[in-house]
Amino acid sequence: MRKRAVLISTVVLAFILIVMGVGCGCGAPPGKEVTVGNKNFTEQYIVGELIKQLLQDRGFTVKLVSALSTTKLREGMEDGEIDICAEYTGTAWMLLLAHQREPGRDNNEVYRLTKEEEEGNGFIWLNPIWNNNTYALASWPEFVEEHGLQTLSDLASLYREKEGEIKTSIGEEFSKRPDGLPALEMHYNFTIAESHLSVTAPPGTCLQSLEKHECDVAMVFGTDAAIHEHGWYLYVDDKAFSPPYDLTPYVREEVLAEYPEIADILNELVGTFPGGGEPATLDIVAECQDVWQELNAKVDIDKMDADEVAHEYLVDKGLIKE
Amino acid sequence: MRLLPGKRISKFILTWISPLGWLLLIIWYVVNLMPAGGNVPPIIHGIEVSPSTVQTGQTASVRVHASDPDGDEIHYFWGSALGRIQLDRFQDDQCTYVAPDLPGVDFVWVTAYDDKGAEVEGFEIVTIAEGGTD
Repeated sequence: MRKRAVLISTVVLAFILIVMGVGCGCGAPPGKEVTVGNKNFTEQYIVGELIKQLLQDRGFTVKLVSALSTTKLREGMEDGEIDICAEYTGTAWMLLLAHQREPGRDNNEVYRLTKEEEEGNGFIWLNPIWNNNTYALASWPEFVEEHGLQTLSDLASLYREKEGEIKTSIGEEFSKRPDGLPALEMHYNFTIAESHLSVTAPPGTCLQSLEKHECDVAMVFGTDAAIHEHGWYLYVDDKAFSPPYDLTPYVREEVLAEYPEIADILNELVGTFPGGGEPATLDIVAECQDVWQELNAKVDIDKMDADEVAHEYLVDKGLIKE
Repeated sequence: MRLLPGKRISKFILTWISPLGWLLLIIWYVVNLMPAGGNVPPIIHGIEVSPSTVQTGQTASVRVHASDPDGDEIHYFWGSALGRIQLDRFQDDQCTYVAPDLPGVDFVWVTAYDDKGAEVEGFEIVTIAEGGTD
């Protein structure tokens, strides 16, 4: 009788220990946990949220480390503190991998070269979002239609025809950069008359100048919210002057080896943007820039939070449920 | 009351030199060091060049470490005597230096300036060795 009691107690105790063990997670398979990093401006807040919310929906526990500088984000990836982020191809190729800028290299080539070299660094670059957030020139559509313009080559012809006398506004930084205005003028063979060039110091001033019709051409960035807001026309960089800056998710190799499904999940996200997964063309880049101008405008102009914008996008594209 | 020599010296210092010294120090600071409008320029703590010896035509990563005592945002303007500077679209505290085609010694300089226009310059030497291609 006593032996029986001891046996029952042992079985009960073993059962309790097993239940407790499961309850505290001891011995259970670990959950799928990843850390996503992003940088400190609107587009990066949105892409960080897109990646985070999509992975969460697919069963991952995601920690988002937000608002990092390019350097801190890269250091985090190298140290293994961050597993996934989205970086720009131009930043990776010219700054992180310290390669020389070569005008004429298009979006596809810079992406391919970056992806190949990064494999050697233990980073797997997934499919790119062809949103090319780079230096660009923009005008009001009326001006573009009046002169029948489409590309920077067309605009350069007009500058030559008018002996540079087109009111143009650029940021101070672009006027000083080695790859700024003087290099652009040389690449497209035109000169802006000094009397018609306005160099503005505070960021965004040249956008205001275009908004107020104080100039006909202004320097912008490819995915600026203001382009969408005002319906400005972005000249096509037909001679690939500006380095391409295409937003591309990349993952640490060890993390992808552990969770290979991440590649499919994030490529599915990229696939929702124009040309997702296909080689870039000038039209695809322009369409993709439109989409990102609109997303950025929701945060910068409509004052929505980046997580709301990302959620709305993912629901709209059918990647997650409401 | 007669004071001992040591005490007399102390009293003299306390009475005359110390206040006068402080006054002169304050005047010198106001005249020479205190920037107009009270805005203090950024401080450059160091410039890293990696690698510090680069082959002709090859590249090096350059990064400046700086802070602003007033907490103002800092911007950077880069230059080089012989080589070429490449800047990223998003971050300007770092650049890529492209060495010229001739070996020798070059320097990379950076101007760190705040939103209110106060600035400071720093530079770092880069050695260019024979033999690279990119």
